[in-house]
Amino acid sequence: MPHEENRTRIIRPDSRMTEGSMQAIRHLLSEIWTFRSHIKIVFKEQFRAAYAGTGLGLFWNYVLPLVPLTVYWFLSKVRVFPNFEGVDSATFLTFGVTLWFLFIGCVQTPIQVVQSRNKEAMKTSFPLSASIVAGFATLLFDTLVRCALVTIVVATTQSWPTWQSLMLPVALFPALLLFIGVGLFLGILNVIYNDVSRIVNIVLQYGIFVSGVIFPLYDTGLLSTMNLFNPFAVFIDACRAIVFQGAIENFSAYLAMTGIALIMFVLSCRAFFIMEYRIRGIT
Amino acid sequence: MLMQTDTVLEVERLSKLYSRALGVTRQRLAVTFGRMLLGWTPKPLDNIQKGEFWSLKDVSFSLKRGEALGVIGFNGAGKTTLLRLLAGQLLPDEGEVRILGNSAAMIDLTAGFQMTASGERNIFLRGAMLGRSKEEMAVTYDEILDFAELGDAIEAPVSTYSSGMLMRLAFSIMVAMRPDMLFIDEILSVGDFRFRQKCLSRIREMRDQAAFVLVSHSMSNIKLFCDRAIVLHEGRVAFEGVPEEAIRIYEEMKFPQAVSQEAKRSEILQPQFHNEKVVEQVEHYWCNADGQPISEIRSGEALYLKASFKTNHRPRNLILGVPVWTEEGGYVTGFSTELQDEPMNITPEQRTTFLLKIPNLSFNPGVYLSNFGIADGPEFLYRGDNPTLTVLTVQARFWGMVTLPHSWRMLICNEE
Repeated sequence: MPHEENRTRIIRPDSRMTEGSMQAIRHLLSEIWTFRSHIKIVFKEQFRAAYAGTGLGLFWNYVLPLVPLTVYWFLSKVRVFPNFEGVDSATFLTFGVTLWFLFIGCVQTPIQVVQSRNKEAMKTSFPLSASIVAGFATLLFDTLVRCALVTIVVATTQSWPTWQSLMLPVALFPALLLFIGVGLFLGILNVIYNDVSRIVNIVLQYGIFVSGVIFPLYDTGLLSTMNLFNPFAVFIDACRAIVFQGAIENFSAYLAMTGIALIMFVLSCRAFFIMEYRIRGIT
Repeated sequence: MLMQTDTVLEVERLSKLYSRALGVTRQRLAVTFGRMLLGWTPKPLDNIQKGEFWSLKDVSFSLKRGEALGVIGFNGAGKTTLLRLLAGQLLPDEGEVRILGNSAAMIDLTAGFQMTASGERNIFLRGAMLGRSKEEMAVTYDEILDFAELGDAIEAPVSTYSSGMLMRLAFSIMVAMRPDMLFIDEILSVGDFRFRQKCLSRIREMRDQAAFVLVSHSMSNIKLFCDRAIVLHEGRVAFEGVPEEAIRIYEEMKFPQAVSQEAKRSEILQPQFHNEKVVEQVEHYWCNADGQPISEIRSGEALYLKASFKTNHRPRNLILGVPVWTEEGGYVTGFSTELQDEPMNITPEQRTTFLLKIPNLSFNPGVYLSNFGIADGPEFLYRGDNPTLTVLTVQARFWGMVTLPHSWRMLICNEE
């Protein structure tokens, strides 16, 4: 609900169109700050809804995010996968899968939230940006649970990380900006073309096999060239390299992708900011 | 568009296009999205496609501080769309809204509430939405609690509240925010009568500092509360002016000329009913002391109603009633045998005649509509309209619907 003291507010068809990207980001951040208490409650609601009516209750919130990781851990134990790049296969896989789910979560969450809460957003005055952040909070929880398991795997396989792994959050930051940006953009696009979410799902199903999540990236041939343009591959490879080798091997690709990430995030925030009121009520 | 001093809201040629075909909406959205990506402004709407319609078209008005504007119209006339546009929940397709100062809207009852959180928590959450800090909300907390009259229920989750309780809480928070402008939809119709009056009274108190836009189907609320009213019809302003005139025009639109009188009469008198298996040979009319039918009478004279009918069984609790309305539908009074000390016993299969006497008729001049009803306890056996009664004037001045016998005496005279 708009609340502006002692100033004239003008509402017209081109509202927000003249605002720049930085104003859009500032507005979205201030909206999130204003609704921080609501976000906390919505997150709690979603958290409770995940186990509501079940016999084991809270247990499911911790177990379900771990299922994909435990599958790959099990497969590595039965020797389906060899050790990769000097890293134990279980560690390689669980680490990669954790990053993969974090990244695709950043893409899918805005798409899902915009689709499911678009109509409600107008009636409840709870902005879509706040709903998306509540969705990210759930994603963060799942990621932390997975990280705990990765830590256990690392300890059991003794694939100790380098001290440079402390830089992991910094290395992750542009990746998160990029995938959140892509998610916001596709979230809007999905309201216009309903096929978008389905296409994204299909692409991501295949994507896990060509992004260095389960298998190492190819060094030669067409796939190696493709890897340079695959943001998932670039960021997962960079994060894994920092944690287990202490340095990013293909730093130029990482740097280029970071630049793209910044541009994508800024443009997407503006696109989301402008389109949010225009897509209201359309499901 | 320049805002004049003390004008807090200006609406100019506001239009909103909707489509019944989702494909068309998406097509327009795709164009806007493309233009946005290219950094261009939205394309002006040059043509309307199949399935599209103007939910609002060229709506213009302005509002000064202290004014209240009523918005009336049929369902689908664009009232709620107008409020949503004013509240900034939607963007217009044409035109402009200028709002000076802060505004608050009560359009959807659940807006801003987290249903799983308690009423108390929601006060602070809603305050945060309106840009108020916890400290600021703590100052007004008691006032909100006091006004909402929720008692211990304030500790319970809002999901357990009735719509009336939710409205009380929403309204209490809203008025405690002291907005410069308040947009209120039909929501005030949810609460009980006493609380609605309390809300209207609070709104009246806020009149000096704020402006209001009130959407309502309650013509009495519009008449009592608003300085001006607009009648929306198919998205356009059909009339803007004093509430009484707006209501008259709305009523005329509601009952088209061809069927106006009859339709209006039917709506006031409500469905007629006759259980012919139980009651027959029913006859009833207004009459004079001699039992002669009349259609006109002067204020102050004695009025009679003669009714006769035959029942095929002995009713356990026979009730006869005559509700009376003004021509405009105002409920004046009712005459019922329920107030009789003695039970009304009748013999089955025998035609019985009753005479209702109203001495010194206190109705003011006008046309009066009425029904005659026969009931056996809660069960209606018959409900039919009496001939229209016209009350003629005997005195030059009168007020309201009735003139009751009265006199004035001066008891004390203070002399300096």
